[in-house]
Formats: sequence, structure tokens, C-alpha cells
Amino acid sequence: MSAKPTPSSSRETHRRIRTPQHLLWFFVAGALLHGAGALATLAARALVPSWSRAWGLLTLEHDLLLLGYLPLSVAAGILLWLARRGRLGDFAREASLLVGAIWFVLAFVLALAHSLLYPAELLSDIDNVVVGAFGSGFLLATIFRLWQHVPFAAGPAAAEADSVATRGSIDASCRQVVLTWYVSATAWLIVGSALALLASIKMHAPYLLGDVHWLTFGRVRPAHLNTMIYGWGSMAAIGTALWLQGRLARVRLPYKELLMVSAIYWNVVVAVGTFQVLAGDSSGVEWLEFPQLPAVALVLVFVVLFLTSLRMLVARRNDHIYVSQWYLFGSVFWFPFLYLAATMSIFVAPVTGISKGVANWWFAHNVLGLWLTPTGLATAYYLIPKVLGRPVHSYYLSLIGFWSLALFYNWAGTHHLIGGPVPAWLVTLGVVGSIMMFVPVITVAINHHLTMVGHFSLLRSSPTLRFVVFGAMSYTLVSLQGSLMALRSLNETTHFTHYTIAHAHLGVYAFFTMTMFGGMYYVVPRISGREWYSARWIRIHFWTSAVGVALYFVGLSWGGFWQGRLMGDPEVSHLAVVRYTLPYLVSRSVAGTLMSIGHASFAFLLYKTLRAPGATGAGPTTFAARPAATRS
Amino acid sequence: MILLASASSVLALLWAVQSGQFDRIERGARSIFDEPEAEADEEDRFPDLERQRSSGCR
Repeated sequence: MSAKPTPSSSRETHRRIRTPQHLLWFFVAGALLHGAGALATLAARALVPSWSRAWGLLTLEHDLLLLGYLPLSVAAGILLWLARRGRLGDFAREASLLVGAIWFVLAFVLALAHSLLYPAELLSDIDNVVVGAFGSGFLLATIFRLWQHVPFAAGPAAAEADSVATRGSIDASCRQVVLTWYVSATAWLIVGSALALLASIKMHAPYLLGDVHWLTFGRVRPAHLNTMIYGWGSMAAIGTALWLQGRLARVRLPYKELLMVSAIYWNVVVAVGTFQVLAGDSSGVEWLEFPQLPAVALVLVFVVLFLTSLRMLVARRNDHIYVSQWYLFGSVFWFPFLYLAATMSIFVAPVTGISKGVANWWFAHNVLGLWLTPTGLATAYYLIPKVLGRPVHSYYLSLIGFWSLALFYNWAGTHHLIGGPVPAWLVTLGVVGSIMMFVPVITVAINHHLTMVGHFSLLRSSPTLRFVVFGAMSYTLVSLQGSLMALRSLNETTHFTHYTIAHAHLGVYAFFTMTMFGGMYYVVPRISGREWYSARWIRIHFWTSAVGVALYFVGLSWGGFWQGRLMGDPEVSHLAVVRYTLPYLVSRSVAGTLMSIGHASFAFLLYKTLRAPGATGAGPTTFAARPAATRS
Repeated sequence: MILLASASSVLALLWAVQSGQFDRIERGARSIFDEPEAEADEEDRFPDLERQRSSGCR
């Protein structure tokens, strides 16, 4: 990591950013591995029939499907060879399209044949076709786009990159990619809200749509959770993380084509996963309900994200790594690691019994702590100082906060199993880890509060600040509450009650989602060059969301706490406890309606802003008073 | 798995200390400000307020 400012070293770094060899190697290696895996499976099928039977690998179609990977691998090898020889003309393009088409048709015909032979497996086959076909398409598109648009040798693109990357040009480089992630996220937010409302109303009106098995509570509720976490939350976080890393490293966004394809691919995978959950094919493991194929497919995108972040980190123009970039790089490093480890221990090499519970909650809690929390905090740590125009109160504290989170958060997950049939030391470890979270939380709380002190009047004028500060305050509240809830004495009352649900929404909604809204209010005008369509709709969005989540939290916390107390009282019948919670469940539906109105306002606002007539400006109109400064 | 994740964080921390990430730390806090978005500039306003301000400026 050398210092960046000299022209020669910056040229070097840019060449490194632009050269996609590593990435090409990665995908080709992936295709070859796929081929090797197919061969190994075929061999195992012949040698160890019992193992293959357990995996459902004893059908002719499966053999053919696996064999289908082999030409793909060979084709990838040939493409790589052509790339190395510099012969990247029409021939290679045609070849890749041909291979893609053959693969798609093969997968489709085989799945169709299989479905006709075994109608009961129709749904799981659609899964295979869509994810398989799109996975291959993703792989081929990656190779195709890379050689089509990015020169392997230093060409005009490298020369262009030598010019200083100004803030305006960095923002502009994010336009298509980040907007694609954002718009997709917003679409999933609407889907997730509809599912949430339905699930909430069913809690106090259980016969509503009770005979539509696709919309029973057991399917709608996990579908809500997964669309919100993987559709809304992750896509919004990825969009913000890409833009923010460009800003922090002062480099333009690399691998744009790849990130666009990744966004499309991610949408397809979340759609397939949600469809499967609604169809009744959920894995039954909370936070990991997507069945095996969509689950594994998501990891692929994270490899792209990790490489993009690594490129930006290595090529950064200032030697110092700002605390937000630490958080973001941490999150793209941790999450695929977590996700892959959890997916493997649930699906690929399944653990059973207690270990499954431990793996499940280790993962589920870390999604919050090592994926949503760091991306939310990175946004807050950048935007609060940025909007105020003053540095964070204590940069020392912010770094202590980051490192204590990095070192200790991942120990906390087992507090979900308090009272469960797990070794006591394992739970105690989780409790200790949770209490240690006081350290990062207090550093963040002090920092954000003292940075704001004396400037609270700006909350009236800045939409970004309003949302982000709401998020930051909620972060303090939810984290302190979470640490206390991990104590066995309090957990005895709150476990298995609505109190926990209120806590979860305080975290994922009041903290994370509100912070992401704030980020989007800042980012969208700057990358699209368009001012927000209407100030009134922003205010409607803020107040419906803020009042909605406050009502949600207060109602369910109060109702949930007393629900827990009543459940602990042997004199009170279970039905009486259920009846007691009814008014609070209704209050949740009211709160959910308010929040959904906010989401619809935001979606409407985003649509009107991006579809506004007229050309896209080069600089955001929030800079109307000083337009020249934002031009590259 | 937990140990692996923690070990990676420890390694990253060691790298950060060795490579001088913690030297002159307060300057790092200011690294997000430069022209044209300097310190003391407020960066974000509601569109209606922004219109008022920019028309006032001209």
C-alpha cells in the first residue's frame, strides 16, 4: 500500500483497477471447477450409490444436466485461451452466445422432461432451471462484457483514468449501477411491505385468505423476512456501499458491467427464492429459508462485490482508510464468509440437532451485526459529518468502535438459544459477547450525538440528516436493549414473545432502513443529476415511517413484555395470554400500514425523480448555488 | 468458524497498526472533506428550501 498522490503511482493503480484478468481467471476457474464437480459427482454416483441416492442424483436427467456443465467448462477454457492470445473478435462473442444458448436450451428441455416424468417435483425443477440458466448466463455475460468493454492492454480507458477522479466524475461513474441496485431495492421494499402487512393482519384475523395455501402465515412471514433482508436491505446496502467506497477511495467505480449483471442476477435469485418459499419449499431455517440453489447462487455475487471493494481499497488515493471504509470492507468480507459457512452447514454438509440451531443463530445474528450494522454505520459515519460540514467528534472513539465490533460481534449469536438444549458455556459466550457490544455502541452513540450537538436545527432543512440521525439514535437504543435482552434474567421474560419482534424492527427498520433512506436521499440526486421531485413527499415519507416504527415498537414492546410475564404465570391459560396480545397486534397492523404508506411515497418519489422530463444534469441540483464546482 | 473470523480481524488490526493507519489520527477524520465539499459546508437540503436558498443567492 504505497502513497497515492504522485502521477506515476496513480497511473499504476488505475491500470490495476481496469485490468480484469484476475476476475476473468476467477470465473473461468469457477466454470472449470463446475466441470470437475460434475465429473466427481458422476464418479461418486457410480462408486457410492447410497450417497448418491441420498442426494437424489440417480436420474438420467441429472447425469445429462451434469454433463451439460462440461462443454461450458471447455468453452470457458477456450475463451480464456483466446483472451490470452489477444484474439477477441466476433468469433469469441458468437461462441459465448452459442454456448449460452445451448446450455439454456439443455437445462430447459431436461427440466421439462423431468417435470413431465415426475409432476410432483415440478416446483423444485423450475428452481433448477431458472437459477441454473441464469447462473450460466451470469458467468457467460461476465466473460463477454469484460472483453467487450474493458481493454486487456492499457488503452484509451487507461488514459482516461489518469485524469484526476473528481467527486462529480466518481458520482457519475456510479449512476447506472447504483441506481439499478436502488430501484430494485425499492421494488423489493414494496413487495416485502405487502407481505408484512398480510402477515400482520393474519395475526389478529387468522381466517383472512386462510384457504389460499400460498398465502398462509407460515409462508408469508418468511417470504416477508427474506424479501426485506435480501431484496430491500442487502440491495440498498450494496448500492450505498459501492458509491461510498468510490467516494472514500476517490476512484471511479470499477467493473460496472459486472455489477449491473450482478444486480439483475441478484433480483432473479431473490425472486426465485421468494417464489419457492411461497410455494412451500422453504428450508425451514430462519433467515435462510431460500432453498439450496438460490442460497448458493447469492454467494457468487458476493465474490464480485468483494473483488470490487478490494480493487477500490487497493487503488485508493488517500493513504488513510476512513472508518466508513473499514466498516464497508469488513462487511463485504464477513458476509460471504458467514453466508457460505451457514449455507454449507445447513444444506451442503448438513449438521443436525443442536449444532444446526447453533449454526442457524450464529448466522442470523451476524447478518444484523456484520452485514446490516456495518453498512448502516458506515453510511452514518460518512453522511452526518458530511452534511454538517464538521468532522466526527472523536475519531479515536470511532476506530475503537470499529475494532471492538470486528473482534467481538461474531461471538454474540448464541444468546438466541438461552434456555435451549445447548451447552451452557456456549450460551454464556454469546451473553458475554453481547454485553461487550456496549463498547462499540457507546462509542458510536457518543460520537454521533456530540457531532450533532449545536446543529440539531439542520434536521429541519436536510432530509438526509433527518433520516440518518433518526437511524443513529435508534442504533444506540436497539443495541443497548439487545445487550440487556441477552441477559438470562430478562431473556426469561422476553424470549418467544412479541417483545423480540419489536426489538428486531427497531434494529432493521428504525436503525438500518431509516439510515438507508437517508443515504438514498443524499446519493440519488448526486448520481442522477436530478433534484428530488417533491419536498412534501419526502416529509410524508419521513413522518409516516418514523411514527409508524415508533408505534410498532411501543405497542409490541409493551404487549410483548406483559405477554412474557403472563406466560410465566402458571395460573393464566395460554388462550388468555393470546387474547391479551390482540390489541397490540392490531396496533402493529396500523403501524405497518403507516410504514407502507411511507414506502409507497418513497417509491413514487423515486419514480417521479428518475422519470422526470428533460436531460439528466451533470451535477446534482442540490448544488444549484454552485453548479460549476461539481463538474468533472 | 468463530475463531477463523476473529483471527482475520486480528490480522487486519495488526496490519492497520503496522502500516500507520493510526498515525496522525485526527487528520484522518478530515479526510472526507476537500474542495468542492470543504469543511463547514452544509451539503444537503430539502428541494423547496434549496430553491429558496439558490434564488436568494442570485
